[in-house]
Amino acid sequence: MDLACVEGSVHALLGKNGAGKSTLIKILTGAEQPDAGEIRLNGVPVRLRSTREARERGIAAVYQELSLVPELTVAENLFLGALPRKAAAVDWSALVRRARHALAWLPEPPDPHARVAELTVAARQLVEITRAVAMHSRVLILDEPTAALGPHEVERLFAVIRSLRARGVAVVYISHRLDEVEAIADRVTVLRDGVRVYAGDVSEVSREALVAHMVGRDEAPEGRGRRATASRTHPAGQADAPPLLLARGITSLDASGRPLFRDVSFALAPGEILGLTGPVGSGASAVARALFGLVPLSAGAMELAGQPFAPRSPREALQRGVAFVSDDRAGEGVVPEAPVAHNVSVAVLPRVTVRGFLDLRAERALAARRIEQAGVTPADPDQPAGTLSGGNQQKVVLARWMEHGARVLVLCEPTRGMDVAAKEDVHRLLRRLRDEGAAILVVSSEYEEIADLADRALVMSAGEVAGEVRGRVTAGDLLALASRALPEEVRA
Amino acid sequence: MTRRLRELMPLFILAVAYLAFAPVSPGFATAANAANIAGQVAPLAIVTVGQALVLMTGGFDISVGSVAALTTVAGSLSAVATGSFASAVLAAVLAGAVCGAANGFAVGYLGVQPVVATLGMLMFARGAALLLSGSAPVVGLPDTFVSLGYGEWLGVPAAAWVALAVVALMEAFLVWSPTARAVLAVGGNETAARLNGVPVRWTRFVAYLVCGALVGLAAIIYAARANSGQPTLGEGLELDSIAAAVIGGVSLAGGRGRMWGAAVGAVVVGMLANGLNLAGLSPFLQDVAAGITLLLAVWLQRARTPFWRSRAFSTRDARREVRPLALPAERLAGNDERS
Repeated sequence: MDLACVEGSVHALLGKNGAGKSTLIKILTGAEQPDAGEIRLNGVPVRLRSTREARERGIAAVYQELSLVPELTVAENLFLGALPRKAAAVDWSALVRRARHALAWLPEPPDPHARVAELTVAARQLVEITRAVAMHSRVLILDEPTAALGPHEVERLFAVIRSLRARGVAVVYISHRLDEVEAIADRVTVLRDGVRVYAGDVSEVSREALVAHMVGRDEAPEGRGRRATASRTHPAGQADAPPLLLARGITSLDASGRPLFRDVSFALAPGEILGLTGPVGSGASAVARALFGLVPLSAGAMELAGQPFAPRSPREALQRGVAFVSDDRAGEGVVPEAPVAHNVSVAVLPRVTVRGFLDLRAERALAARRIEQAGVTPADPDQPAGTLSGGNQQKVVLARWMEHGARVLVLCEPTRGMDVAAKEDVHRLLRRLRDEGAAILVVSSEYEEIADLADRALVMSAGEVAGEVRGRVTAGDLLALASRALPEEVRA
Repeated sequence: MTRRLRELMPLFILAVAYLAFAPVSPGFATAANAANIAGQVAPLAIVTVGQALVLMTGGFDISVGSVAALTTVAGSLSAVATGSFASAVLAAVLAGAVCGAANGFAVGYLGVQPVVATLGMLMFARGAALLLSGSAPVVGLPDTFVSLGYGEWLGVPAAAWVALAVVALMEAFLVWSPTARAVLAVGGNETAARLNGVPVRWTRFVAYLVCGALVGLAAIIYAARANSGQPTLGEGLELDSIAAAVIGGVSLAGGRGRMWGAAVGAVVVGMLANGLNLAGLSPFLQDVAAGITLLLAVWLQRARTPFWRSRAFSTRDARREVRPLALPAERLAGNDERS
């Protein structure tokens, strides 16, 4: 992997989720070590053993996840680790003065005395960027800096980036939004599966070509082939079936009042897999959690089988027949200490309870049947679930919902971290559940997964539905939609 | 180590302790002493299974000693007032259940940390016990207490029969009750339990309530053995019961354990005290020995803890490399972000 950044230029880094951008940044900032190869700074090979070393050499990064201390003030956060001193004590007035100066680029600078916890996510992002800029770094890495920003703030940010460029700073700019890349970047590098697949000047490459580089040409036909076989066993049934789950203009706000997602509408029919995807922070997983009562709605309404549906807890959602599969298998999927049988029966205990006592034999038999159907290996109901591989744990979770008979199945990143074979197993299982009449919503940040699995897909961007892909879903269409800022519909 | 072998560990520890004392403590390995230990251990065993249930939810109850004092006073006062043994049992168990319910409400529904909630109860119940009793032992108990405290049936103390029945009932509860299954799920993985519709708060509430009620029952045995209601009863009972449960294979992290194992743990704790006493060693050495045994038991438990349970090797971290989303800020921050 080569990446050359020139001082006084903005270098865009593109790639799908999981293409290796994050790992690259981690290596550049010293958070992780390369297995091979070298990093040169001004032509001198450097070893960056820690983030501190990277920072001392003038490499700073702004991440999507914020790294501010919420209980400290804006000013303290800006100069944390380099607080101005007078003798041994902190020079508070100098600190505030310097913070005001550093924040001056903002149209509405936050109060240096404000605690970071009181700020909106956008304001925190701006403080974070300000901090990186204030460090006078020679290389500034911005990872999706505009994810939480409004258009006005984006403009300001671009102005700052341009002035930094004029001062000779090398900026690495990572974004899903191709229009932003065109607006700000001089050069662009595209990563795919950890390999550089394109590098050149932004002015010399079309948007379509960039998308093609990101997706990879060989992948689309493969997904198409699989989808074709799937559709044969399941002729697009969603047209005739009335929707089971209906969402109308649902909106949810986070603690600071910014929308997690806004005005999202969709219909989910029995016997269909609806894909929901989008870049990090697009709000897709929040939508899934809202369906299960984990995220409260602030506007809009949902209907389930014609009845109003507003679950306030997972328990309520389950009682209505809506089940949820978390993206965090180890943390939220199974009880690792408990045997597989208990993990299957946990959601249907009343079914194996006779006069207040568990019928252990019936429980074990039921679990044994379901895990065999789900293809859990080894198919041993007595084994602790935590000893299984990730793929098999996921199959245990699916076996549970098969037994539960959930009408609506909501899954977040159902195959994250699995090998190809396990992935395919899980996909096959989901298709089977679909063919048996379940309404399935799959949230995934892997476009290939959606392309492979979904009958229809919605693409979210910055909390809103950016578009819908009907008919043949391909990773390219999804990526194209996700990369645009404006909503648009694609029909294949 | 297989699950089955792991569950037999408490018996192994018990056997080792027994064999260690038999040659050095005069009069240790006799039927009379075994009966003696059984009688002494009975109330601790009852408290320990209650404690075990709370531990299985991932919490713990440090108020059991004070609640034992409060309930032994309440039961004794009731017995003196009515002359009825049954009313004493009822009063003690009810008072214990109320204390347990208060703990359970605070932990389950108000979200107070178990240590804080039960610390509050520890102080409250001790004070209430001293107030109720006028800080003097409650005496004048009916004769039924004496037969419970020192009577025997088939050569086994009556108190031990009671404890045996309670442990058997609790073991059955653990295996066959949906509520106990919920306890294990909540302690094993609270989020997963909630996402599966397990009533997490209610489950916690029930666990603390049952623990309190069992403490009340044990308090009657304490009263019977002292032939009085002692408001100073139960100093250190919380530590003894937690230690006994852990020696008995109950995981402090929650989600794992057996009731009979916890009871065996209580016997180990009682036997250590008895054996060292008979060997003529300082009573302070008893605490030292109990501490060492506890550490050994925990070490065995840790060694038995499969790698995926330990935080350092949690699968969540291991998979981060391949997770396409979310660079965790704390990891990116590395070792120096805050410096």
